[in-house]
Amino acid sequence: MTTATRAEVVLTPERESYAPGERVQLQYRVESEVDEVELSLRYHTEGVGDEDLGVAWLERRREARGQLDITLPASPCSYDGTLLKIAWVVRVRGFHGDEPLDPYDHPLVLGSVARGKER
Amino acid sequence: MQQSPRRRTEVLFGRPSKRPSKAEVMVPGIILACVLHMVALDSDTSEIAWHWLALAGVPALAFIRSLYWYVELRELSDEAIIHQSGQRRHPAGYPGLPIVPSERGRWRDYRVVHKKGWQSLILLTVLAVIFGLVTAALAPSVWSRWALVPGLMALVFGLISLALAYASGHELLVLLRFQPTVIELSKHPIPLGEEVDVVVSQDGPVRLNRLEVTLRCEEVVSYRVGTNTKTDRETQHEERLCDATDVVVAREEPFVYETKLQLPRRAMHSLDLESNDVRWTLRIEGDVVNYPDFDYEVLLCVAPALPEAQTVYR
Repeated sequence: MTTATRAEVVLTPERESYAPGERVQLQYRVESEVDEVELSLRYHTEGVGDEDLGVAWLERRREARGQLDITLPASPCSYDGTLLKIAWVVRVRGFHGDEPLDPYDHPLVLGSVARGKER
Repeated sequence: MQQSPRRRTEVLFGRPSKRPSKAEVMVPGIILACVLHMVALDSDTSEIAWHWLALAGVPALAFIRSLYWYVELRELSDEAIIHQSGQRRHPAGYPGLPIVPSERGRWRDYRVVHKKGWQSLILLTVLAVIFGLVTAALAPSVWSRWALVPGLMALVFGLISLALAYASGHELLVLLRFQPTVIELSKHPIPLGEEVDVVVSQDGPVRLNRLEVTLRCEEVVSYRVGTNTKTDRETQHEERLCDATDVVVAREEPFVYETKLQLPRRAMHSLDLESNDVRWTLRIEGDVVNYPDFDYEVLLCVAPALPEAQTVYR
């Protein structure tokens, strides 16, 4: 049975949305008992179409807490459209040995794209 | 989105972008076991059942590939699998955007390339010939026996063949007669929120009742329902860039229409994913005097808005 990764993520500067290509500082702290931590910046689509996933950046670390500077990708921007949505998260996933735990997701808004039309 | 170097096994087995499910391993495994069982049964006569062995090839390859990646990827998270898989090609610095070819223009820096429709012409012609041959094959039985079912089938196939022949003839006339309308832009990819020059030009000689160029942004999503893939579209933005009437173009003097375009800064940029796209297109429609009309679409690449006080993306 997998358990959830308990973690905390702080992005500096703390803002509602970030510009594509902006450089931010990421601080993380994992409270669960883990051997390794995998940090990733990923997007997924939601809505009518089949789900698409993308990973902009991924790093595996032994330290349960730390900070690093990352450059946000230029695209695709977060979007709340009529048929599709794009949601970005910083995902923190702990590992017990080789066994991955359920991840902790910290949402992030990339860009400031207007909402799509109401259907 | 960096790519890790590809190993020989990745080249051989084609690295997947997601972990194979147990079903993807078991189903070809079960089919393979059934086929091998048939081989064993047929081999009782001491002759090798080559036809069964030939059939075993496809499930065997599928089983080996799924099993290999199931074992190989078992310790990786979904994110690590996606990150290490070969990403789709995108313009440098713009993950998720489509690659749209453009070439040096005559009036502005970028000419959006529109490929002539020879492929659709060939496809329509081949289909027209196939349906025509089926009709020809059915026709003798209709004449000899006046059978109802073959008669109806011959009628349906014949009508389809005629419609396809008409469409391919129309395509051929348009391809032979016109140079496609040229679209040139001062910037491409087009950054949202910035003003871009657009030049529409049409070579002659031709007389048009109307020439329309429409910019459109559509969400296009596809999804699987059973074994079918369905596609839904939703228009998010539509803008008429050119609406010229009574256009008379001489041989040496192309029709040239210049305008400026500024896309909304907060609109969604182009997106090109497996099942979810945002397509910015220019639809060009020409109503030609005493000749078949033309109508085609060119894909544009629209890039995210540049952050304030920043001229290029890092």
